[in-house]
Amino acid sequence: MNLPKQWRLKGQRYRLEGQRHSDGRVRFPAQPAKLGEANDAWQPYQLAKTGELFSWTAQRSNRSEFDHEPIVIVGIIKLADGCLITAQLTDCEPSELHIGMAMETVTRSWGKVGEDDLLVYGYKFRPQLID
Amino acid sequence: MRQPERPVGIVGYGAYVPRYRIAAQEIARVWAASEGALPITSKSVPGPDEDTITMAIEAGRNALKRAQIDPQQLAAVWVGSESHPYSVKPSGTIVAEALGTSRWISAADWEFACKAGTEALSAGMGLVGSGMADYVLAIGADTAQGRPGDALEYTAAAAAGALIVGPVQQALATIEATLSYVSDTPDFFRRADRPYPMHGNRFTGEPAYFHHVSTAAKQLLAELGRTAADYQYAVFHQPNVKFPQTVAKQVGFTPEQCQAGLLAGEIGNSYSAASMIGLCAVLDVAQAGDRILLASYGSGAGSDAYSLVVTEALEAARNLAPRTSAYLKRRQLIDYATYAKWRGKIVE
Repeated sequence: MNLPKQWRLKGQRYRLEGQRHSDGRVRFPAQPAKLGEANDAWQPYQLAKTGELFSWTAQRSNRSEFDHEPIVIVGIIKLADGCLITAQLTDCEPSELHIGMAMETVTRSWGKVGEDDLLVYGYKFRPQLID
Repeated sequence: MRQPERPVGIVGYGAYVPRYRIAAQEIARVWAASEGALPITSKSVPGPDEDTITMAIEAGRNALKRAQIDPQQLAAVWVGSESHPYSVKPSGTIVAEALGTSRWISAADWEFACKAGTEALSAGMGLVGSGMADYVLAIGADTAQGRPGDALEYTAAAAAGALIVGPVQQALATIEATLSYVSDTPDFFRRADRPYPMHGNRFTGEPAYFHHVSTAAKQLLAELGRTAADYQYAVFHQPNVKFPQTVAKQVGFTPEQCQAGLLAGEIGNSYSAASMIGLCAVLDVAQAGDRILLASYGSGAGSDAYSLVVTEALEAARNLAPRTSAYLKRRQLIDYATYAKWRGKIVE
């Protein structure tokens, strides 16, 4: 189950927390400073929460954890701040998707881990809600 | 009635309704022997990756957008529900962490059947009204359970409503006063080890819902020296369409005053969220100066009643997050087999 690991990753999973370098580069997820790098060279940075669909695929043969979803859609989203992120898509069917469509992040269940069902939550993307 | 020393109001609000619906006729097709009247048209169904926590997070984010405050300014995140995903571990800490609040907050789960969310709202009024805090997020969220084939299965739905209580100077709607009315009435209950609740059929009506809601609403109006005619809108807990319509009539409200906040026909009974998203739907359309009466109901039993007045600030804030109607419009119908699979009703 690895409780410390699940606990350690919640910033990136819940809030899309990555890091931005003083020279403008962005990385996700956050990583420890490398040898020779100043400890404060990379600062916490929250990725943009909206973007457009860059690419996607529908997976029809999945691990047993996805039995409740016969088709799992995975997409690459080009965020408003220029970053590309890979994520599961939700609240949509393959027939509704097209490259370039507006997307937004939501926090959803990623499943359960361990025999006692620790619930894991994280980011997914869906077509932007039209008001 | 209760009024805080420091005047308070709703400074942010947000709704969330899942995309999926099941038609009441589809449930009747599987279970009903005859074509009797159905309590609603359709009900919302949480997607396979949704639960009370994920819905509370989205409603909370919408409320924060309208409040235009930093999540770090929240002093409390309170989640009212009867379907918290964990029996032991708070939903509130997960929701707070996802919203990006400070760690120096109160985060807790509230329970009182379908009025767990408004219990949090009343407590939020106390915390802000006493000057102990500036902003409190009160959420009502549920993925309600109904035994297959039971009358409850037609209506037990899913949604979340979030309200941020703050100083009256920033209010989108001021809360003039509140009161609560409770009694030990066993109309509906579920023990911890049971998957579905038990309800008392007709006993859930007159001595339970109607008595508590009408008593609380009438008493609040009497203490404020008002009548239903002084209000533009009324929102009552909505386990179906008929109950809120009937209690509205008992208190003196017309169907027109209740129409904007009556969502049960489309999405069913969203339990702790029901009256709160009804209020959200009203705030989506209300104008400055409009008065709103809100009365929740929780089995077991009790009702919290509130009198609100819309301020000038609402007009600019309502478009900062998706309106309730945006969630209602993205309706995707599913069949009973999909519903049964997603809701864990298939025994392996």
